[in-house]
Amino acid sequence: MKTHRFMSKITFSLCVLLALILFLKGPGYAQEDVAKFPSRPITFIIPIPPGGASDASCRLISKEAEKFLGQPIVCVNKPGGSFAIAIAAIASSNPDGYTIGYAGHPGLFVTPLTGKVPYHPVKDLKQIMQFGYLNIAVTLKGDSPFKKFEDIVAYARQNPKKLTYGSAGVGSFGHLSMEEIARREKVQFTHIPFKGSPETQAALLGGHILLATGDFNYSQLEAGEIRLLFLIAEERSPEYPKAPILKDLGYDIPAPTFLNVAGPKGLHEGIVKKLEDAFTKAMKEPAFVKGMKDLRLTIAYRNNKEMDDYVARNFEAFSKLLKEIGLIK
Amino acid sequence: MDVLQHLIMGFSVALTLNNLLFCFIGVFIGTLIGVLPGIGPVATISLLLPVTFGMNPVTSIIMLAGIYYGAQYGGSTTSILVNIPGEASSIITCLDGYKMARQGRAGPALGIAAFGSFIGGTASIVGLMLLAPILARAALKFGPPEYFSLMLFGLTMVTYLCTGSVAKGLIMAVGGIALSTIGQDPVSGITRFTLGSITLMDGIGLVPAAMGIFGVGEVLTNIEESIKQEVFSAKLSGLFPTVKDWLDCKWPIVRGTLFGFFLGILPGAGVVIPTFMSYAVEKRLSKHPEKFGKGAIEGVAGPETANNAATGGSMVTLLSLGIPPNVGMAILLGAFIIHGIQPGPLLLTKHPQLFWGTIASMYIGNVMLVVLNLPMIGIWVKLLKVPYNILFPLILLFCFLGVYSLNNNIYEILIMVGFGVFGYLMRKFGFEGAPFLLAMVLGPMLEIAFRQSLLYGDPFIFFKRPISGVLLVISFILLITPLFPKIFRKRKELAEASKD
Repeated sequence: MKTHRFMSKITFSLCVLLALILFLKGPGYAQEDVAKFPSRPITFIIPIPPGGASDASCRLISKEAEKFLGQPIVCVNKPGGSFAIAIAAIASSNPDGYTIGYAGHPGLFVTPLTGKVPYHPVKDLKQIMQFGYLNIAVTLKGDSPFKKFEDIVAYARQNPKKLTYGSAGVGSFGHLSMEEIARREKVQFTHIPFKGSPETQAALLGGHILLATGDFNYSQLEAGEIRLLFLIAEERSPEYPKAPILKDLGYDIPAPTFLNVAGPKGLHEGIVKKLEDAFTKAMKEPAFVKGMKDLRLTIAYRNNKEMDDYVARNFEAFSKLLKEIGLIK
Repeated sequence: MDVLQHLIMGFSVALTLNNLLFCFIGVFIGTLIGVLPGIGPVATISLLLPVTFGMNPVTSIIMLAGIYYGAQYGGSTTSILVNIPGEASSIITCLDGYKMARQGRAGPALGIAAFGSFIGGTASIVGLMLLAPILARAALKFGPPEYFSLMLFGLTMVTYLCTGSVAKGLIMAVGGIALSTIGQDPVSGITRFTLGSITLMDGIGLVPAAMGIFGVGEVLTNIEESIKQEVFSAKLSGLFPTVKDWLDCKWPIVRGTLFGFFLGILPGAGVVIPTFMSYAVEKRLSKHPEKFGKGAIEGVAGPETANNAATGGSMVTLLSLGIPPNVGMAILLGAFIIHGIQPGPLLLTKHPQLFWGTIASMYIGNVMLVVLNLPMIGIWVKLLKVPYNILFPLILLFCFLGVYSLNNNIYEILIMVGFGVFGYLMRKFGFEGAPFLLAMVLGPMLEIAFRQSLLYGDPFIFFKRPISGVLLVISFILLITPLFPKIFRKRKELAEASKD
């Protein structure tokens, strides 16, 4: 039936044409009035798989910030590449304020220096604010004979390469801090990299490593199974006020373990202000404060200008640090 | 008995109307997303976490745990019906399950998968209940050298996964290991073979690769033959496993439970390895190994039991130590934390209601799942009657959506399609996917464990530690036993030759 075949040919061509038009035109985002922002849901990109404390904290603050923005915030996980995939997505998105996310420290200070990423962590991002700090600690078994950090250094001096410590991988802050300490004290630790904090903690409990770095299980801490030696942080943690931080031990090693909100460069001032306001107000909400307390995470604040400076400074500091440790040339 | 008292208390918590309702919701959603390829319990639990914010902690955990082990029930459905693994833990079910479906035995396959899952799930909860603290401590004894020897043991099983030429199977295994090196070197952090792509920095994902080789590859192979020909041509014979099926499967189910439970406890081992091991062991111990790969029901019973038993095993580590042994448990841990509860040594004393209530609800959930899944078999089987030229675009669509839902990364779809073409070519030339995928899973773990162990400075560390040494000896024995019959035969021949 010739007419039948002819009709279906027309239909087919129309469909192809329609598909091409939609594909090429794409969803058009006209340049919006800042006053109207936001007029549709905002995407918040999280650079880690769902389920960790940091992921939970992002979802907590987004839930509270929704109230002040009047639009839902949809959290999307884009893990991979040590935060690079998520940060690349943020940096390359349309600077209209509808794509923001947690641009965490590995993707800003480590991955861009040790490898190639399609963005510059300082120039291609606009920081919006910081809302907290992660917990990166150095822990040891409860029954370990070491009592203070000085004991560790003394042991390492007398037994080179016998002090085994685990970390969540090469380039993690646990690794970088311990290596820098070893360099300054002129001792040798043995670094055993693991795939993540859970595996590191398991190895510590099993006695396969003497120290573990990274996140830890506070139920283990309360039960006395593990002990906090010190925190890799810039400020004391209100949860663990007795735990020394790097500065207390005499090392001024940068430890920007922040939880933040960032967007692509080129964001309009007005939009940055609106987002910053909403998230800042969200930080004071009781549900957020309680949530962070349950997660045992520290709440801390920097506004958008302070964060921009802070990130730029740390980028320089880490370029230097990584060269000193020998991770980059 | 103390345990009995606690269990009764647990049931009193779990049998409230609210908790029963949410248990049902959880296992129902779990089954659904288990059936859908790609999207899995991890993504679902993270989506539903905000919903549980206002809820009672016990109820939330009951629901979320239900999603997790419910998914292990549903995962086998698509593996059997259309050769697409619904979950990574159902990859190996594709091998014999799909063949059974093509022979008209989809019903028995689905049935034995459901029953095996029930037995494996329930038995592992009993194990969890009685042995959790001891097992958790024992699992901690596994350090890098022990993991290496365990992975090596797993790799020796690769040859048992081959239905065809062993040489080709080994080539695939080596290929799998080679491809698994793509990504970041675990010890030095240098990226290998990533061609500058940040997606490849974490290596090739198991799920895109498996869905490509099995799902997309199968579709490509099928549409090459004429679409008019029925893909599922055999007449449907019965909806449930026969008595003979049950008798054949009783030992595979027992062994699957043991494998799944004990291997599920080890942090980092994952739920995939127990299924592959179960299959390989069943094939090795079977009286008719040549049937494997052509529709042997033991090849479905063992692995499906194992993956459900592994959920109980992984909860041992999570609840006793507070350490999540795999990604699914990590997100469940997140759920605990959000409700202000940190699992660990103090969980039993601080929150006994939560612990025993969850355990009791897991028993109830498993029963609900069996009741839910069995009648669905009739519906699923009807799906096969859909003409293939309508079915396969839908299959492809679900594959694409499923892979994207994993990490919201469009490049993983490209990876899947690439593996689909690879899978098609593999079938053309008689190579198999199972050894390749097993090697892809074991390769990275083998390498990292090996290199971590060497960092201790002693190259003989693998032999000096008891668990590691024993595993190595067993692997060695397994490798050379196939040679013994040959050796005996040779000696007989020589003896006879010298008599003349």
